[in-house]
Amino acid sequence: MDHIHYSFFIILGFYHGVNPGMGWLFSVALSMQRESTKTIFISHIPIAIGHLLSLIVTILVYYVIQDFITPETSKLFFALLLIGFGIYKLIDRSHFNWVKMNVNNFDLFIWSFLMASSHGAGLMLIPGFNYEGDHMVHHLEHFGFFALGIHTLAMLITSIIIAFLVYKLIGLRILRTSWINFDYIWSFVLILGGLFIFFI
Amino acid sequence: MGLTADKTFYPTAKMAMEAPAEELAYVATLNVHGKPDSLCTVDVNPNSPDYQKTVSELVLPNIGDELHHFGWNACSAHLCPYAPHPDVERRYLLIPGLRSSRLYIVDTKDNPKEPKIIKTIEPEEIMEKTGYSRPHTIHCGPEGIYVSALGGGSESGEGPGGIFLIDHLTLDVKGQWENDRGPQYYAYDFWWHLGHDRVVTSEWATPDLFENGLNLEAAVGGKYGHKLHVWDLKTHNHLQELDLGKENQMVLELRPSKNPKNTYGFVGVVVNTQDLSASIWTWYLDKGEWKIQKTITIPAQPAAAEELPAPLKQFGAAPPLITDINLSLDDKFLYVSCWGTGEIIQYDVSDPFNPKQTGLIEIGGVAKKKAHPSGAAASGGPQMVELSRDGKRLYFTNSLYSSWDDQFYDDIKGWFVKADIDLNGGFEIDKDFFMDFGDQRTHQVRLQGGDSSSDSFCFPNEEN
Repeated sequence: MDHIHYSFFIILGFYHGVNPGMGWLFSVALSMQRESTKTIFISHIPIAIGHLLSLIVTILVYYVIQDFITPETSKLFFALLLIGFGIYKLIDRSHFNWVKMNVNNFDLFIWSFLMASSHGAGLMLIPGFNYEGDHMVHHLEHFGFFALGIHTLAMLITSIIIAFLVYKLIGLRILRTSWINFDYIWSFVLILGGLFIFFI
Repeated sequence: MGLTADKTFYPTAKMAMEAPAEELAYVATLNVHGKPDSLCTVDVNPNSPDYQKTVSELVLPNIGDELHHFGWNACSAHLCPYAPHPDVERRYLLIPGLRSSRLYIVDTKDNPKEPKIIKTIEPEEIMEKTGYSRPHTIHCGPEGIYVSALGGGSESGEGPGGIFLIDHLTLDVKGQWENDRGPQYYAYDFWWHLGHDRVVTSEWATPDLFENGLNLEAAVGGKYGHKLHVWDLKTHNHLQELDLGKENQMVLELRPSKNPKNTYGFVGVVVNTQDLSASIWTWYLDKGEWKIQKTITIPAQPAAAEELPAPLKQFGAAPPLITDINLSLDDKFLYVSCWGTGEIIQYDVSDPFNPKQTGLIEIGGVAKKKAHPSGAAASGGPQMVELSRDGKRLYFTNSLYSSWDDQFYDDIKGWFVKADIDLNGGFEIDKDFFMDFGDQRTHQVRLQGGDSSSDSFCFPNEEN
């Protein structure tokens, strides 16, 4: 696994961490509601586990599919899947809503799992597994879990830092001044990933 | 959908008080003379050449709707962290016709001064999809747009009433909100404690008890609503019933603390059948159990029989009749509108269990019939009150509900009035602000960009 390959998973980890829909904003709200800085850290444990589990499920499915189709078909299939899902997320703006503010750690875990799954967080990583320049990608046990691990660690650190800064220093005003529509960027990254699989 | 957050959304209630002053007010007007109701857009920007003028009137295509508590498709609740979507725009007003069961959706985006109808949901569709009729109050919130409905899904509107949902993206009717309604039968207002996943609902009555006017006999018999209900916002199940006692008839507007950390709120009772007083009650959470206690009593005012309308002559007193209340975004001031005595009273409710009266204004009233300070005659009494987000301006109107208007007042002429507020306590009617609507009876007011009763918040107020 070379440096570029590492950075792919780490950079997407940063990106997922920055997205307020992946956990830091929820963590801030809970810390405010409970008046506890500790909550920033505690709440991120189920958030990170839920995120990681969603990625593992996606990538396991990816590896299983590899056993049944040729590399060429796989390339085409996943390229179209990412592009299609990116476009679908642009059009379908609905979101599940049954998780509310009063949550325990298990609720947070389920919430994070569903948020990552419904946004296609795992799909976004597939270009890294389809990258033929690295023969290691064929070994799930050596490569896959490690890749997902460094991704989730990067996501976790980013999310905690942002949550901590917003809670302790910056304040919620940032939601009014610096919000950008992450859903659009998210779709764009998925589509870009699909094109990457197709052309590289 | 925008690329950035809607600028009218604020994460906390206190931050929303920094909002710029409103430039437009949307006023629902009722027409009882065989003409349709309207949504009037009023210029409330003192620097505008059109200040205090109706800049447009959207005349509705049907007759007899009786517009009630309309509201926005989206608000600050879209910043809630479990599904943050602040790019959804606050642009549509959903306007319910209480008498017709019809619901209009108007778009304010293209020209805020001239809203246009983009969709009409017919009564049949509401009844069929929700099992309800007589839509009354709109609140935007988590899961979409919530609408309270006072009647069941038939022509007669036999109960129970309840809440139904409208999708905030497609603006389609989704269906009934309740899962297990327990003993709840009457509906009126509803609101929530977002930080605790709790919904509170109140009770007026079913259509048989209000459409033809106030049934005095039924009120004396305790037949109107006198309870609050607490629900789980997640499961939509009934949790608890809070009975205010059947002498406390008609439990209407709910104003929970705007800070989602808190677990208290205020509700107004129209009339106590024993002494004609009106009251404000504070509900609160005590060790896992919701409780309620009376915190303000406003007594009836003695008046000579010849000054009083027919239903009240026998009592020799004017009842305050609390018909609307409004709470400032910092949870500091509660405004209580006494439609019967022609007063709005301001209370400092910093301690929600010990409100202190800090101001009082008078206009109209069944007995006093007090004129506006400009000298203009003011029929009716102060009814719907709306407070600007910064807490500095209070706007109010004078019509309640056509058949009830006619029982208590002779020929109400609609007006729209403003009061200026001292944030340290106290307020007075702006003597230069009186808008005469004539035969159009004025009801609910919404302020452009939001007001003190339009939004709910998921984030507690920040320190400092």
